[in-house]
Amino acid sequence: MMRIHKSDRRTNKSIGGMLLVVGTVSLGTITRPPQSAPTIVDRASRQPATVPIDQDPQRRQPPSSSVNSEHQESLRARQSDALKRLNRLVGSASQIGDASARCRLLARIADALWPYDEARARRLFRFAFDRAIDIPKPDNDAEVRRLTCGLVRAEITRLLTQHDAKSASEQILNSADKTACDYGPRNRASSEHPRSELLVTTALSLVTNDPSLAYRFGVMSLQEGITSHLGELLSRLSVKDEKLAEQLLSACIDRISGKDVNALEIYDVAHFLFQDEISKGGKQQAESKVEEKAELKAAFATKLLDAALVATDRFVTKIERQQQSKERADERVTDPEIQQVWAREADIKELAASYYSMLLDVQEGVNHYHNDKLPETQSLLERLGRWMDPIDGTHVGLLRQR
Amino acid sequence: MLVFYDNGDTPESLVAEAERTNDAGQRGELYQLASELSQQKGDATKALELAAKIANEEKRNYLSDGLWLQRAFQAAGKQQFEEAHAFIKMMKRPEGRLRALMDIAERITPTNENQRKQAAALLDEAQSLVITGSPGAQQARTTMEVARVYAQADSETAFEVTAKAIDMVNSTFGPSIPDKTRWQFAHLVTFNDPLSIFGTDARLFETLAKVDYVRTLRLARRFNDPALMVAAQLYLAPKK
Repeated sequence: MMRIHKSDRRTNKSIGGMLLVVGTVSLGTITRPPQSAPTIVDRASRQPATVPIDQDPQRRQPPSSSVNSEHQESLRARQSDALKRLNRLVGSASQIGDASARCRLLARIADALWPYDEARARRLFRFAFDRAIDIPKPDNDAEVRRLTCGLVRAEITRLLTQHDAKSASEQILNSADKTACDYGPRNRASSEHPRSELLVTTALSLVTNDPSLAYRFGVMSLQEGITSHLGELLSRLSVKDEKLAEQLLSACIDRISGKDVNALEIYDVAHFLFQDEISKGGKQQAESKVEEKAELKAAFATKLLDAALVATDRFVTKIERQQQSKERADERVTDPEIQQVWAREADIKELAASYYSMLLDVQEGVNHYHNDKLPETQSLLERLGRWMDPIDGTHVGLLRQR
Repeated sequence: MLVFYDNGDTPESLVAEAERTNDAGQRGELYQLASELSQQKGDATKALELAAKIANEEKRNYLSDGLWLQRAFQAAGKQQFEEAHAFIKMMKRPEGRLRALMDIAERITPTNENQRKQAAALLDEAQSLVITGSPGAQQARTTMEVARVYAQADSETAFEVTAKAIDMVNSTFGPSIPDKTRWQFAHLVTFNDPLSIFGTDARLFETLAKVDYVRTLRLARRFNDPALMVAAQLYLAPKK
């Protein structure tokens, strides 16, 4: 037996984990925002007008009985107080010096305000999203853990999506041509690009009601790479629109065969198509439902497997060229195109092991659907094995016997 | 995630290979694999014996701590919290022990006084451990986490520990960088922004507000940093 490090990309701890799902105040006196204030700070500096709840049909409360009127009154007073404070927080948040904290807090306040003052909440979301551009781009390695414009926009988008997925997607589309928003480095564990992840999760929020727009976002996400959520998008898209799902799958395969990709991109697409059929666990593989996605496999299995082999050959050839006359890999990859699709900290050994692990899975697919490519697959495994950690190379089950 | 391939390796074959090799680094890797494989096969004692053979102290401690932690979780899963506590005491790395104390305390559902005491005992130890670290953002953040777990078992102590954590935050200037002379906890990799102090769990202020809203509001306003003051007050916003 031997272990190999696989993707722990699903443990990705981004700022998404810090999302605050702030609830909101119900009933009571509602503060109405000024209608023509040009900026958040200006709005905050004005004294918000308070209007009784019964003046607004959307916020009318049911009549209270005489029995619980005292309780209702107390609740109303407390909620009114809470909402006033929420409105005051807009002013406080607007004056925070740190741009990332300012934008995130304004978005959280917008989230809390939404059910009671949707128009104001929308303006706050828009403002927070737009002004995320003020977050300074990290200019040296010591600052790489700073939040970036892209990460903050992703958090704002996730909050807005809970209220209005369409508006959230429009906000992204409207900012798509502006390149000044920095997304920061790829995720260390998954090598996923934060922008791809934002686009594909936005696509997932749209797929039920607007599969065409979801498809568009899915294709856009491929620009910086395939992420772990793409399989879920393909599955859900195929339920709504089979043709669009096939087009997206085809775009993934084109990316794999035509561009430098990281190994996990291939792994994600292969696992969407073959699922447990290419699982390393003997039991899982034995219980896999081969008949699932039969038509899709008939159309795409060999194309995907060919693309995986082409991509692996392209990768290992570049490594071999870099490592000419060296016996062992002991450095980082220098090819700029490979660097672009991996986390910057990864070295050659790690990249080779990742490709190796992916190819062991793909080999199962080759065995079932493209048997004539088995020698080529095994040759690639051998070539990759040379650049891995010697212990992994010996014990990962190189050239496993069938 | 580790994936094991069935390629015929056994703990014994890996140990034999380790004993043959002259490369110290490879020998350590082979002992580690043998230990992990023993653990996977269910022999925890052998796994610990093999981990003890790793020459590199950092790697040895990391692996053996992981093995003790697994045993602690298994015991906690059976509601045997005293046994779990005993396993945690075997862990060498202070940051591992601290995390384990909080994780196990969090698994105790304090439905009676005895369980509350068990959770508090673990958290008291965690708190004592935290103060041995370097003052700074990391210490403040960890104290805030300890307070959050306390809030489930002992709200009065949770209020006190939260106030202490806020005072730590208020006296912190920039992220703490542990130096070797005062080193106690491995440096956490977190985003370097003010709101990271709350970690990934917003429940502390929510839970405290349910106990005493006004007191929690006062705590929220105790932050010097305006961003933290706003964020803490937002955590108190009533849920619809």
